[in-house]
Amino acid sequence: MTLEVLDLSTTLLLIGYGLPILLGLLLILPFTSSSFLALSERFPSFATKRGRLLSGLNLTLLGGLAVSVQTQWIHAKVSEGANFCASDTIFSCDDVIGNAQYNTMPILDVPWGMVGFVTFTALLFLSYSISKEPNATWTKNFLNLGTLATFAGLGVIGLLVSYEIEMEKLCQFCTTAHIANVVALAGFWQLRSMHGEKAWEE
Amino acid sequence: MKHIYDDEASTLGDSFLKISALFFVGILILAFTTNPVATGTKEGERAPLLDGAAYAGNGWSSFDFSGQFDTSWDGNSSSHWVMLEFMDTDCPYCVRSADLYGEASEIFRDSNPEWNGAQVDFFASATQLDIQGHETSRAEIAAFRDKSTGYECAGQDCANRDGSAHDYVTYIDDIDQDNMDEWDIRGTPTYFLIQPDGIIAWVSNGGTNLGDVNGDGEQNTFIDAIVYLVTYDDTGGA
Repeated sequence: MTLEVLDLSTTLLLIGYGLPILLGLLLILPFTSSSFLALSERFPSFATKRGRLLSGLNLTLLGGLAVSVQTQWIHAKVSEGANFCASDTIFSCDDVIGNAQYNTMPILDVPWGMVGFVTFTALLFLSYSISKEPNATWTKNFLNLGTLATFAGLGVIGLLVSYEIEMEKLCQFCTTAHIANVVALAGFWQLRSMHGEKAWEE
Repeated sequence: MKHIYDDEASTLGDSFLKISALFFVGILILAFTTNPVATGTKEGERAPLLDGAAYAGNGWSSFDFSGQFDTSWDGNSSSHWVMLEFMDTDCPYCVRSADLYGEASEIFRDSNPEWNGAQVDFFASATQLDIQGHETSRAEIAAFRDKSTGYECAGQDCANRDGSAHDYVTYIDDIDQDNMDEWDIRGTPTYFLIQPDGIIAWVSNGGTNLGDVNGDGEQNTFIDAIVYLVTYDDTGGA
């Protein structure tokens, strides 16, 4: 079905960006996370729940960062007059990202792709720092900040989805970034709940 | 002397360097593989959207400004250019320039054998300025275009304005000033000459002070802009 509405290169790119996010989701979801225990000999961080959550979070945020760069790249290409994923079907990221009325942040006038790029970079810094030093004094603050930022991201996602509904077009790359934000929220939320508990020290 | 090491600071610094490196890789990819064109109203920028119903002589209908452009334009002379005027039917300067604007819309067409350049499609975005006595309506805009009677344009019957009916000009309803705001228009009339790919080639300074297109030191009209900038058949380029 997907291949019928998207060209092959777009599909391959989406798979490339979606894979780390999917893997991150599986590491974060409580009922799939434990299945990665079998890989703990090869990846020692998978031995604990905290390690799996942080690994999943890092992977998800890396995927989100990469797909945000891609959307910013499409934004720039469309402004040059090029086509990247224009389509007559509902799946047309060119129409969404190239829509001058909706493709920048209100007031600041920054492209949404750049907003995502900067946000995912900052979140990855938080997540990566925690995974390197889980018992640091700043860990709790970083977890709070990550949870707050990804929660606020839900509002931005709501706004952007409302634009897509208005345009009757769907941007696949934007949706992938939105999914990464939701998965990251789940990761930060669980880690925040665990912090200070026995499970954090296991 | 005892040295105190801050392991936590070391972790943060290390993480910051690694993630910053990722960020700059992203920036470098964007910088080296793209050459974005800003959307704006200056020459060289991509023209913003123009919203509102349009009137071309057969009733008001929805209008898609982006449909006028071919983003893959290669400089050929078969693609149409766009001349856009921001005006108010009660603005005396706009009424005075209506004759010239209408005449130009008839000259720069494929069907004119004396014109060997690309066709220029003429549009007028009609607003209602926040000035006393500048009350307009779609009916008045239509009367201005068609030169029909029954409505007042700048203190006279619209049918009595100079020039002929604007048969080749499409009027866009901007009574709510949305387009004026989007295009940052400071006065009327203001003219924009837009390439077939949607990039603004020339913009007047607003009011009656038109920019010097050909650098001869004299004020020029939008006609000079068209003659000087629009693609010709014989040269193949502007």
